[in-house]
Amino acid sequence: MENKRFSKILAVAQNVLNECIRHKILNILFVFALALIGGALLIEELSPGAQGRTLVNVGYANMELFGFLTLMLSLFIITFEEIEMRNIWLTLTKPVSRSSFFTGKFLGITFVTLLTMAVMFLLVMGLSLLSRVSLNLNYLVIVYAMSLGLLVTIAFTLAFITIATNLPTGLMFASLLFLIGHLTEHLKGIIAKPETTVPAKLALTLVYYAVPNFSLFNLKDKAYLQEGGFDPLYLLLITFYALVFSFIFLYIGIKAFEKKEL
Amino acid sequence: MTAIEAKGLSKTYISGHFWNRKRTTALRGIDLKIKEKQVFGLLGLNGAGKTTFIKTLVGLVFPTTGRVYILGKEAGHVQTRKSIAYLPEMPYFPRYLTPEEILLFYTKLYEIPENERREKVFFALKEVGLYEKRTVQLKEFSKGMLQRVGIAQLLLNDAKVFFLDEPTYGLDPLSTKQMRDIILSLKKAGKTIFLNTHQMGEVKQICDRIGILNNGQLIIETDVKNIKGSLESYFVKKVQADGK
Repeated sequence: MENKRFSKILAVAQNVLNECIRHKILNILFVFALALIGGALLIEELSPGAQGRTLVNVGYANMELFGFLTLMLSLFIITFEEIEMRNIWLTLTKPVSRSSFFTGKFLGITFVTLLTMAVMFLLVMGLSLLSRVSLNLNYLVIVYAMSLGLLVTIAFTLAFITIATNLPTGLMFASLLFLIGHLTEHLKGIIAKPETTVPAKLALTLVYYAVPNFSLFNLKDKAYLQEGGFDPLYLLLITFYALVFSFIFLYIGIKAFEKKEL
Repeated sequence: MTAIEAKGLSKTYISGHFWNRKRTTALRGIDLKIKEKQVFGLLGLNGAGKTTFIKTLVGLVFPTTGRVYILGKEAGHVQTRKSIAYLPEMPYFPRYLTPEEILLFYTKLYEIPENERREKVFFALKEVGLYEKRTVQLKEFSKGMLQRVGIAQLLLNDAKVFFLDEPTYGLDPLSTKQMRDIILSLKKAGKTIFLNTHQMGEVKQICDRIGILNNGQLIIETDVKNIKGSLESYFVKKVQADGK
């Protein structure tokens, strides 16, 4: 029984991958490559001598942005076709539960995003080697942490577009949460300020704990400070943190989808 | 045995934001029983609630009140969906996939063994005359061809109950005839068919029983053989008499 359920989840995920490839979503990688090479040339002009390190930084900054763009674009196209174009009608009258369908979508988009991240990582590494930057395992760990952040983003974006009455609203709220999630660390500072009122402190504390803190997944700024590599316990903790948040958002998304009328 | 049963089925859609909620009642207390191997035609004006009714039967929308059973099981349940096949008014498919790919995807959801999947898909595509076009992306297909892919997906799982919403919508006369032949062959094979249609000729030719839905209410349910004269004038008379 569970085996059949899993094979249906995989079938949905595989279908998402096929659709994304056919929609040429992965062409975003060409734009990334162009942005990277363009950035490299510009850096060479602006900061001779430090180009290697800056190039890696630019590469990583672009990776996160393009990873986010890939998942947003994939979700937009897939969901638009399914809900607005009503493709979903035929699929959901087949013997597949809504929770399996939703999980399959999540896995499919995750796979597309991770595939994009892997190719971008190889491009950055290739360019770094050409620029004679010494590479170590930390570079891979940075991408791992970044991918954890994207995993959470996929989960809450799927939840939002399921709950929202229309696709643009869902994507807008998800983007807003992504943005707030990157600023939550600053909330700590505001909460600690003596001039912040008690109700504001309470509200900000609530936001601080309810919204995923994306700065936890940002290891790229710390790469050069870590001589002997990142603390494995920290990596374990952020993995757990990402999984918990993803699970919560997936659960909310599935429950909303099970009640959604099509 | 009863194939389709609706008990006190009502459906009210709620739209708008919480400060400006709008309620639209699409179905009002429908009671209906359709026997196995019967072909039932549901007639009604545009907006009478026919599509909502069929979507409730296949589990895409949920009843506000009342219950719906298919072959004795709750409508919309995964196990129930193994025995049904549904064709919406205008079937939509992922545009960048091919008919072969989308049908293979459906066979996986139907739990058809891997070694039988391609055979089933090829059979269905041959039945609707699209075998040669099986590797062409669906974005290249005309409305009529998409409808035929919709018909092909009906033939994958050896369903017992078929829900067809305007099955000849957008089809040319030849494809319309092919569709009718397919429905007749399903009828001959002892399948239960629930048909939403505006085509009175189709109903007279195919259906054993009809129901007329007007303003969300099932105002009449009768055997086709009981209808004297043209079905069209019978329909108009009943709807006008209902006066809503």
